[in-house]
Formats: sequence, structure tokens, C-alpha cells
Amino acid sequence: MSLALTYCWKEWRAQRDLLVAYTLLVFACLCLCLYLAPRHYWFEEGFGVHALSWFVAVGVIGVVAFVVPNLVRAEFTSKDDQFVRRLPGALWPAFFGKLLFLVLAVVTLPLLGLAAGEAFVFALGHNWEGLYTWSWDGSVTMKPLMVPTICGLALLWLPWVWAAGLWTPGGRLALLASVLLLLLLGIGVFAVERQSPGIVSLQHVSWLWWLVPVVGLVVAALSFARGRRGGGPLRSARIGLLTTCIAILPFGSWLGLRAMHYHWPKSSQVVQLQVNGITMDDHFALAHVTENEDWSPVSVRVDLRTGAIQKLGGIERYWWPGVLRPALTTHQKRGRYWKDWGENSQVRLLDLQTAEQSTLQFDSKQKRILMPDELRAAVQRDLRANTRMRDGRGNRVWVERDAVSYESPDGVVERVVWDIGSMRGMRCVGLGVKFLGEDKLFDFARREFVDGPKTKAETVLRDSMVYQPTVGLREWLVRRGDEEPQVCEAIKGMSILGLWDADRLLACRYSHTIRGPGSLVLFSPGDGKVEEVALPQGLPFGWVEMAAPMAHFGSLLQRDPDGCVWLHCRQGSRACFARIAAKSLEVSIALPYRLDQGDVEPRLMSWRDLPVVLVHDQKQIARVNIKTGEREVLFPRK
Amino acid sequence: MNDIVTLSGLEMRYGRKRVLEGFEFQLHAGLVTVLLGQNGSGKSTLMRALLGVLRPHKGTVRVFGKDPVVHHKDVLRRVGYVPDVPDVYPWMNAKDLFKFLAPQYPTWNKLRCSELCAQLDVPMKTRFKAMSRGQGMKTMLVAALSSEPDLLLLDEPFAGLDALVREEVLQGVLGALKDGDREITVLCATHELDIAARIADRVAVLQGGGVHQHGTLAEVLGEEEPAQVPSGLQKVLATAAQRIATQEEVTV
Repeated sequence: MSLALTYCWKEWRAQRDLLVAYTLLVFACLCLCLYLAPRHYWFEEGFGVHALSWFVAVGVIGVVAFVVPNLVRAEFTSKDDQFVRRLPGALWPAFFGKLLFLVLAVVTLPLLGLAAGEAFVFALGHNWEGLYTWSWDGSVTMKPLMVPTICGLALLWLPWVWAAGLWTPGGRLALLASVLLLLLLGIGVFAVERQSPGIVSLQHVSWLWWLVPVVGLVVAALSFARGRRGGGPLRSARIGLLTTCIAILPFGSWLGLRAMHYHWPKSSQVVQLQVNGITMDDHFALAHVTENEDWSPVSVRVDLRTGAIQKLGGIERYWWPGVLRPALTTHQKRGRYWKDWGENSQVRLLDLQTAEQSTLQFDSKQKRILMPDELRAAVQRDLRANTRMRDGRGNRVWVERDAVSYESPDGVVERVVWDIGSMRGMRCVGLGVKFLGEDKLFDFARREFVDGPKTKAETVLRDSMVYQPTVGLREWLVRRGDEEPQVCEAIKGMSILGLWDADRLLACRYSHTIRGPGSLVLFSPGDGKVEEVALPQGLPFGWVEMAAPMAHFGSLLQRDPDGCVWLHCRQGSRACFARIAAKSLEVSIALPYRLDQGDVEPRLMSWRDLPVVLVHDQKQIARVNIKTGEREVLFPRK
Repeated sequence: MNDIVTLSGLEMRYGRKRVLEGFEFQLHAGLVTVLLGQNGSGKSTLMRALLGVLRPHKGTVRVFGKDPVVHHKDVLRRVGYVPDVPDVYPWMNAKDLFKFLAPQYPTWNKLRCSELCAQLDVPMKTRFKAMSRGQGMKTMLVAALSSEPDLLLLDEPFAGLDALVREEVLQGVLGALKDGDREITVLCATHELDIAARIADRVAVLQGGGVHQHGTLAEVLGEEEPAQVPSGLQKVLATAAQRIATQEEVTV
């Protein structure tokens, strides 16, 4: 200890002239500058705080820029730093002596700045109210000041300045070398963070800040006491950098492992799941998964038979349905082909069935994806097979760029040429489609464009159209053929859920919008007939929407293999799927469940194997028997 | 006879430049050995290897039977060193230096230090950066001798000194060698043979990265064929031979 004190004394003797000169000169200059500086705007307001911050900052700068580099620099005499190295066993005591001096300087200089700043501020008749500010958002949050925060971070970095000084010839440019080291480490972390956004939450690793000075001290100690024993800066650099690598190895390994899990999530550790599509045979699902809720999702193909996942691209790659234009605006569907917009007018096409991807060119003039004839034919076959659009006369309908195709029950296809111009995106509005941003809609039954209302709540039936004059009022107008629209009192205050058949629509009144029980009706706009659908006791009817596998809606409400239409009902935390029998109109509860705050509603993925249905429930894909309640998790499998 | 220093197969490099190569050398206890060699022959490098300041590239260095790099503390507490140029901090004065060194050497002799300072007229309050070369070397000699070392390493301490100061320093060294019962071993690097002639028991000639000759001065001079000795060294050897012939006693 006495030797360490001797070295501490030596450091003081070596640096005292410089420090005294620095303190007097810089504090005097700062006083003068702050006194003479024009007081505008922010500077006048809270002048005391600014002045005080700068005095403390100058103290910190003295430590960072002078004291620490001189711990090394001052050892070098005419030849090198041989003197301290040739003294008997002096390196460890010398290190501790220097450390003691550094600690004293770290405490003394900023405190000296604080004292000088206070004296200056009070001498000018100011105060430093507002040094601490806080905000209230249910709990008090202290707002850190910029200058003291930077000072704090600079002090954490001090040992690394010391270490870097030991690695440079003559201890020169220690500050620059340490900044270079910081940049190198920062580039590494930044590269990982850039490739994997949110991989590390700063809040979760805030304790790492304290490791920075501790590791820095260890590196500086070994660089000095080990590196200088029988060697110079080169040996110090070798030992110091090796120690640094060893020190950051655990963190680097942890980060690397985390990055691997980020980009190649394990099916058993998936915590976030978003399903976008499923193949028609229910074999493969297109999903986005992550192993951490803060991470960006990775698109994968889930094999629902084995639970295995196959990565389909990097993070934040989203596959969209609707490969051929015009396409229905939807994010989900049952189908085989998916697209992803790339750079330079390129489009990647995914075959979900085989996981094959192909890069195609997008013709920006014709607004179409250029693809080989064979592939185009396959995509068109998929489109035709999966279409949910109907014309109300029993014909299946699908749309292509130049024509609307009708397929009769006996397989005869009839094409009606249409000119959609530059119109691209469209949505299904009953027995017709409406293009985005356009008033016109195409009526499948009449096989022609008709003028539609300027609202988004229209539904086209075989001989009529129901729509809202103003969105959100739940008041409805009926337009039959080319007649003038009439107010429809029968479904006033109700929401239209979809077309029950070509002439009737299903409408409901949620109980949460009215005082009293909700109601469900079949309404025929053609003759104004209303048919009440009886709701069973206990059905949570506060909020209702249609349910269909992958929300793949079309002209008519989708029917399950038993011919039932599905509803999704919720009231408070009680929720369920409900089925409406096609003939008897009997409503039965299919899958009751509890929905707590923050829970995501389960979604139907398939009902092909009734009574067993495929459900995306929270973070799982499961097969659920709606009669027995038996449940089998298909993904993620433990 | 005990060997204080044993060097075996020593190779020292600065980058790619080999300074010492296959260096074999023993330093016998109680003797004054003078290292002769031209500038750049590796004398200072050898000193620094003995101090553990430089790590050998190959070979072994043993001082008091120990590796000075590994057993730094044990070895260097028994070694006094006078560099060719004072290597202490320029802001220090002699008083500061002695105050700084005293706790590091358990054998530090304050009284001896005072006596030597008085004898050599060391300026106590002058900073090293303001000292003349002679004052600096005398102060360094006092610092080296005050720890009462068993091995004294002198790295060209007489170079560049005027005749009077050189004599003072030399007397300081000779005085230390005569002091009391202690057996002190000296390794003195120089290229001044007249100094060697006055203090040396043995002489080692460094050439080509190794020890060219090792023996008493007379042996070295007798065995050396002028044609094999570098021209600079020939001159000093001749001067030394002349001194030996004219002086009555050279031994310490």
C-alpha cells in the first residue's frame, strides 16, 4: 500500500503543474465566456443550469483529456518508459497508485467545477433551479440533462482511454485510439442491431454499462502490469486486446446466439405467431414467427403435420396474396401462390406448397408481373380453384386482367371482357367487386359496371344494392335496379354481416350498441322481408363478426362442410364461435373461450375436417374438436 | 566461482533486426567485467535484458539464478543500474528521486546516500531536466549505489563527461567497490578502454551479436590479432595497452 501511495504521490508531482494550469486557465476562460455570451432564448432561460453543467463538464474534460492520457504519457522520458519497468516489482503498485490518483482526480476535478460553477452562478445573481426536471405520466420520470449524461458516459469510458494509451507508441493519441476502439466495437454492435432490430433491449442490459469501466480497468491493469513486463506498447496491445476479446467473448457469444435465434427461430421456442395463409390441403401454413416479442418477425412455412418450420426469407419479409392483377385486397387467404416486392422492379414468387421461390420481373408500364406461361397458367388455376366470388345464379366467378370469367356448375366457362384501365386493387362487395378509389363497381349478376355509392359499406345482391348514405350511422338505403334509393327501416341500426344467399343478407344488432339483447336477422331487400334468427341463451352477443377460414371472404357468407355459417361473438371476456344452421337457422355455440385483456382473438384456419377445426389461437396452431373440446397443438410442438 | 549472471543462447531482436544472437556469457561474482564494443554492438540491449526490461527472443537469462522477467522483484532489489542517459522523470530532483526509490529497495541506505551525495556533490534541488549530464550521471550513480546492490550495471556512465566529472564518477564507482566487506559484482559497458584498464578484472568484447573475446584485459589484448578487431576498437585497445604499460597498478 505504501508503494501505491508513493506512486500516487509521484503522479501528483508529475501532473500537478499541468492540472493547476488547466484548472485556472479553463475555469477563467469559461467564466469570461459565460459572462460575455449573448443571452438568447434557451441560454437565458435556465442560465444557471447551463453554466453549472459546463463547469462540471470542463472538470470531466480535464480528467478525460489530460489526467488519464498522462498516466501513460508521463512515464516516457527521453528513451521510453524504462524507468518504471526497471524498478523492482513496481508495475502493480504503480498501477494501483495511478488508479488511486485517477479516482481522486475523477472526484476532485468535477467537484471543483461544481464549486466554481456555483460560485460563478451565484455571483451573477442566478440560480440553478431546473437542474432536475421530471415528468408525470402516472409515475415520476426524471429527465436526464444532456451534458451531465455525456459526462457520466465519458467517465465510464476512462479506463479504456488509459488502456488505449498503453497500446500506442509513447502513449500518444490515447483519446483518439480509445474512440477508434469504441467505434470498432460500436460498428460490430450496430451491424448486429441493424440486421436484427431490437435484438437487445437497452433497458434489459443496462447493467452492462457498469461492466464497461470494470472491464476497462482489468484491461488497463493487464496491459500495464503484464504488458510492460519485458515489453513495450506492442506487448501491452497484444495482452490488452486479447483480454478485451476474452472479456467481450461471453457478450459476443450471447449476442451471436441471440442473433441466430432471431433469424432462425426454433419451432419449439416460438413466442409470437402470426398466420397469413394456408394451403388448400391444410398441410402448410405461411406464418411470421419470433422467439421474442420485441423482435421483428421471420416469415416461415410451417409443416402442420410435423411442426417443422422452414425459413422463407429474412426478417420483415412479408408475402402477399394476389399475384395476378386485379387482386382482392386482403392479407390472408387460403392459397398456394404468394408474392413479395423486391428491389429494382423485381418480385419474388413463393409456391407455399413446395416452398420454391422464383424471382420475376415487374413490368411497371403494364402493371403486371412477367412470368413464364407455365407458371402463369398454374397461378390462374389456383386463382380459379380458390375463388369465393359468385354471381348469384350458381356460377363461380373469378377475375383476370382483361375479363371476368364465369363457370357454370357443369364446368362451362364464359368470359366477359372488361376494361379496368389502371384500376388494380379491389374488394368484394357481395355479388360484385369495387375498385379502390373508384365509385364504379362491377355487378356480377348484371355483368357490367354500375355506378356505386361513395361509401364503403355497399353490398350488391342479385337485383338490388344496400348501402349506407354515411359511413358509421348504421342507416341503410336500398336501391333496386335503377330505381331511386329508399330508406331501409328494417335493418336500421344494424350491421350487415354478409350475403346469406343471392337475395338475402345477414344483419345483426350488437347488444353493446343498444340497451337490451342483440338480434340477428335475415333481410331480403327485394321484398323487404325480415326473418329473425333466434339467439341461444348465453351467447355473448356484445360484438359480432363473420368467421371463415383465414378470413377468406367472397361474395356469399362461407359455409362449412355441414352448410353452417360461422359467427365470432364476444361480450366482455366471454367469447365464442357460433354456427348458424343453413336450413333451421338454429344458432349453436361451437368454441367457447375466455378472452382476457391483451389476448388475441383466435382465428379459424380450416374447417375441412369437421367436427375438427384448425384454429390459430394466441401463439399456437391447434386442431380442436368442436364437439368434444379435444385439443391438439400442431405448432409449436414442444 | 559463483556465476551471478548466466546468459545462454540469448537472442535479442528489434523487429527483424538481430542485435544479439547465440549469446553465451557468465558473470563471475565479485569481479568487475567490462563490456567493450562499438556503438550498436548490443551492450545496452544486454543491460536491458538483465534488468528484465526486454524479453529475450530466444535463450535464457539468469541473474542470481533467476529469470529477471519472471522474478523481477527478487532480482532487481539486488541490482543497481546506471543508464547511459538518466531515465528518470525530468520533473524530479535528486531529493524526489531518493524519496521515490527508498521504499522500493529494502536495502536502501539513507546514510550512504547522504555520504555519496556529499562526496560527489550531487545537486539536491535541481530538476533532472535542468541538470548537466555530469550532475545527472552522478545522481544516478548515487541512486544505484544507495540500494547497496550485489550487482551493479553501468551502461556507459562515463561517456560524454568532461575529465573532472568522469574522474569523480569513476572514483564513486571505485569507492563503492572498496566499501566494507560486501562483495559487489560490476558489469560496465563502455567503449573507453582507459576506463576498462582502470577498473576491469575481466573484459568481454562484443562483436557481431556475440562475445568475441572474454578474459582479462591482458589476455584479450594478447590474443587479439589486429586484423580481426574493428578499426575503432583497435585504437582504444592500443591506448589501453599503452596505459597498462605505463601504470603501476590497474587492479582494484
